Amino acid sequence: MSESKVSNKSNVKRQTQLGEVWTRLKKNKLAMTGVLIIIIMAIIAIFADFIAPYDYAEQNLSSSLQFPSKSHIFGTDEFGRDIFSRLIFGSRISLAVGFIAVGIAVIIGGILGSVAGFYGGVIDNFIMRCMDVLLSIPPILLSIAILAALGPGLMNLMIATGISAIPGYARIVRASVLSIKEQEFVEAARAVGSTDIRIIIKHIIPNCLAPLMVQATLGMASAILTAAGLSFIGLGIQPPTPEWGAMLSGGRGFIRDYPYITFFPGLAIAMTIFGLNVLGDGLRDALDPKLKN
Amino acid sequence: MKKIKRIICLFLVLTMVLTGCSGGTNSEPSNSDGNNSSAETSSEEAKKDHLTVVMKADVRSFDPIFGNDVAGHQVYDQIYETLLKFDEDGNMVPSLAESVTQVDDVTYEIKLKKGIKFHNGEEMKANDVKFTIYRIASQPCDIHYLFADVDLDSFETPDEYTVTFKINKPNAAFMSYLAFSTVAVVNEKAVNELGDSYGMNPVGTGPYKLVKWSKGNESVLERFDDYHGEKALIKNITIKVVPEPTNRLLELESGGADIAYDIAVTDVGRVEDSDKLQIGTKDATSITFLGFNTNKEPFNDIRVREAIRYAIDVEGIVKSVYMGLCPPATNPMNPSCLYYDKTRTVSEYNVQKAKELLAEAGYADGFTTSITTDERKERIDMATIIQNQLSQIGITVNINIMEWGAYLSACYDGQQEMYMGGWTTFTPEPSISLTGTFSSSTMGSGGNMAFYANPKVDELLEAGIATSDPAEREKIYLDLQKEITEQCTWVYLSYGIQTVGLSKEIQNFTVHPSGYHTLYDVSFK
Amino acid sequence: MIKYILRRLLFFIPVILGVIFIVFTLLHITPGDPAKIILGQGATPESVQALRQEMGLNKPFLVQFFIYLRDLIIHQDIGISYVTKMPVMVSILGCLPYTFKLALASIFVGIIFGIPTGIISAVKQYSIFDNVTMVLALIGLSMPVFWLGLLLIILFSVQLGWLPASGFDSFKSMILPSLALGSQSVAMFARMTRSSMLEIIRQDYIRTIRAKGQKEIVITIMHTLRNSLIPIITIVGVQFGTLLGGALLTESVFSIPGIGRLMVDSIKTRDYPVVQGGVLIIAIFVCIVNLIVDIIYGFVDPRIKSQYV
Repeated sequence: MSESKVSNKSNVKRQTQLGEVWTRLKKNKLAMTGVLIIIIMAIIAIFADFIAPYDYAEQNLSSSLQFPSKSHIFGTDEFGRDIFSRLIFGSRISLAVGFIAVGIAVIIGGILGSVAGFYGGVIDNFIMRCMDVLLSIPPILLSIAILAALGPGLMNLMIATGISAIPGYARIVRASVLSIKEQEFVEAARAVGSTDIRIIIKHIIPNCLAPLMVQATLGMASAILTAAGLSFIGLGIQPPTPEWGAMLSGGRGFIRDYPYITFFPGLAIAMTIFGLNVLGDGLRDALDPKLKN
Repeated sequence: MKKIKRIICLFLVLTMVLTGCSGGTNSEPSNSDGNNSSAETSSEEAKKDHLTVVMKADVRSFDPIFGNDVAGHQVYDQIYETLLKFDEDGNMVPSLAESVTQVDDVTYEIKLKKGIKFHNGEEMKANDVKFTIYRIASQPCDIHYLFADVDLDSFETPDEYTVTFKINKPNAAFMSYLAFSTVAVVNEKAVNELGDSYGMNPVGTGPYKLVKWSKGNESVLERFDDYHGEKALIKNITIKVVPEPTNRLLELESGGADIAYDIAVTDVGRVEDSDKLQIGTKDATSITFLGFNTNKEPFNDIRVREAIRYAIDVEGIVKSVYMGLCPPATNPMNPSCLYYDKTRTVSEYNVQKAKELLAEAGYADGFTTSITTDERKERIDMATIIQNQLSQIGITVNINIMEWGAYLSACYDGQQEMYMGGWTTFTPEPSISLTGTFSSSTMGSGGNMAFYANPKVDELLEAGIATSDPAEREKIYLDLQKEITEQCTWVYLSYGIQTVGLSKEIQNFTVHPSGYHTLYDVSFK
Repeated sequence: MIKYILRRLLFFIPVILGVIFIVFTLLHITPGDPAKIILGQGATPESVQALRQEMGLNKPFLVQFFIYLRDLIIHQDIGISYVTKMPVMVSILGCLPYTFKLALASIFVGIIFGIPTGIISAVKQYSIFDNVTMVLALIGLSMPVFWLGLLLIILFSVQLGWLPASGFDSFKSMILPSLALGSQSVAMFARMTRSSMLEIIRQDYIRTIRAKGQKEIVITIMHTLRNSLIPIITIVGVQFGTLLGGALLTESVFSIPGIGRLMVDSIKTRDYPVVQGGVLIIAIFVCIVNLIVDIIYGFVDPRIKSQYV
């Protein structure tokens, strides 16, 4: 009885907290710009089939390398494919990369971090030393090595990007677990005989969500950037997939005569990252009790 | 306050380290900058004596047998020489050797020129030549297979300038192997003394010697004044590595370089139009093709292979990818090979016929398959266009781009279904090219990545190196090209092209068809 | 203090061993046989086998791992490159100076542009300057470095012809890569400086000092900045570590022969000893940079110093 009461209370508290966060976020114009960008991106990604005037793989060798015009508003690439349409479809890839890579990192990092923080001692030490190991290999090199081992492909690209981001999440979750696990409501739960797993799922994880949300938003930005960087150096993506980094890379040979081929994909990446970054920033500020006023 | 001072100190140290770093490196290149750019002032003379070349990739090793790739040859062919070489008309002529004679079917005798000096001052003797050939025949390296038949116990050096040795079975093409620039004569003493570090400190007999190699960045060469032949005209050469084609052209345009190798086909027109630059082009000795793994369903069915060939617009692809600069391919080997069949034309593009053949083979609704390719942009581009063209006859193609290492491994093991392949020949000898790609003995890692086995082809290939009668050989190789083409083992796409951008100041540069350009005849106007 | 450093150095050992193990495992499961790649087209299966034997690739995984460790620890030997047959150290030492210079130059760009911007933004919070620079900083953080690099090349090398597009030897050729790679650092440092200073500005003791009539500039530099340094130093250190291993894209855009490019090329040619050695060296540097950052803390914040024991 008493246990459910406690968790109810914390639930209620959390909802009002979320509401409060949202109210504060709404006041932040920059953050709202970010929200807007992300929403537009999502809409574009969902309705790509209706928005894009051409198919992303449709080639027309006779109309290759055309400057932006009425029929191709962002021009065409060396195969005569419509760059605008490819960008539209590319938003799906980038969003998928962002979500899945971060998803992998959050789940694995979250589990490792909460286990480490909750149990402490040898387990904590072991897990965190492993994270140190991962952290001392630069993420892009680690991703490249993982990608080489797994072989090319979009899914492997996401996995590689995700794995190299794990340590960040593990650290954050561990830190919040450490601060939460000594609090009264956890001790109360333990006193009435809840199992460890139940305590972690019911009490600790919900309370780590705030910092995790911030990190995940910013992490999506860096996952998209890393993935674009990897496909820029020619790893992971297979044609004709319209990944933005790969499009940018493909246009490198044409920067002198046809700079628009590299310009638009780069702009698309930058916009997305900008949106996620300002949203992440806004969230952090909104969640920070010190900045309440 | 003390702490503040410490912090300030830290920042100062950081700044000093930084400026120290940049300052230190400044001094050196600014000299060469002076050499390159300020042509109008006192360095007019210096300019004439310093050539700067930019190329795509760095030398892997200056040991010829470990650095055997185009980049390696572009640099170390200025440093080393071979026993025989090909003149401009493709005839084999002596270089370091006075003569090479085939005493009987399996015995070769090499007589050396006298008085040839290595860069370390030693004279080239028979033991060096023996060492050079023995080394390749006895240890793993990528040209080992050519010399695998050398009888290691048969070497004799009757005098200081004569070497004889035997091979295990007759081979009409063997003599030409001695003209491979990878079979460069090295100094026995230097290789043994330097051990692992020989690759950084090469000792050759060529017109230039290596002064400094800063790996990944540049090689600095200087004229070898004791050279036995005609001395090189330019004293110093700096060969810089600039991987991006656009960046290489920018270097050339800004005067940072006098010669830029491998100009992108899209930029050839720009170089032609420039009033300060000139372009050099030559048909290369390579062929690019779409190969089938003939071991795998459905490519073991010749109708499926033919259907795909009919569905591919070869001329359109070549025009689009190479801006029409490269000739479309019509035969399984490069036109520079002896006995090349000049009568054949580009394969027909006929979607209707393709659909019929596919239906006949039982794939009226098409199927899903893949093209495996390495990372070269032209190949990916070609695969992308082929992917699109095959979709018109209902075949869905996935493209697997792999890094070179994984690509080779996958293709050697036969994991590929279709693959983008290439083959470069270094001599006009047709047997090397065709045996490497179509003999059942070279399946997989031997180079036959189509896993193609045809007793008739094997027989003809054997016959081709067993005889040395030109008329007979011509007939054999024409038959081979016909049979291989009829069997539709590959879809021939294009022959390569070599492009070099040069400042108009440069004269006497000859574009080498394999990209192994030499610099010792080059001079400034 | 020395005890602390020694203890930290001792902690490196398991981390570095872990790094070696991870890379070793990854390379081991990577498809592609180095022997086949070295021998190239035309190799016979027998010669491939012979070479695998010679390279020790036929031994069990763990045996290979311990042989590597033995050579590393006893002989301080990180091996011979499969491809060039030369010591791995030669390749790495050839590339390290470029990577170091590039990382240092970018950090330098970050410090001289980022920190002053951050200070002014904090002092003039909510001014136009503050708003504009913080949005600019966010934009800077969002620009993919390879895109920014290409844009800089298009503008300064292609259109204006002012600066070279490749290399990293002369001062002129260092400008574009340092700006491209440094832009992120500028943005990061500016934001960190600002937020960290804002936190201190609100503290009571700053108010007290101001009440005592101290000059604004003195307050800003002597008190506020000094007390905000810890997070700034941390981020500079972390960023430097990141740049050491992560300048790969910049190196690729500007044709700089740094360690990132060496690593990618070596993975592609399955030159395992070079990959192994390169990652090892980078990891050691990252650890050392982290240690230095921690030691600098001690200089800046006496409270941390007292924990050193």
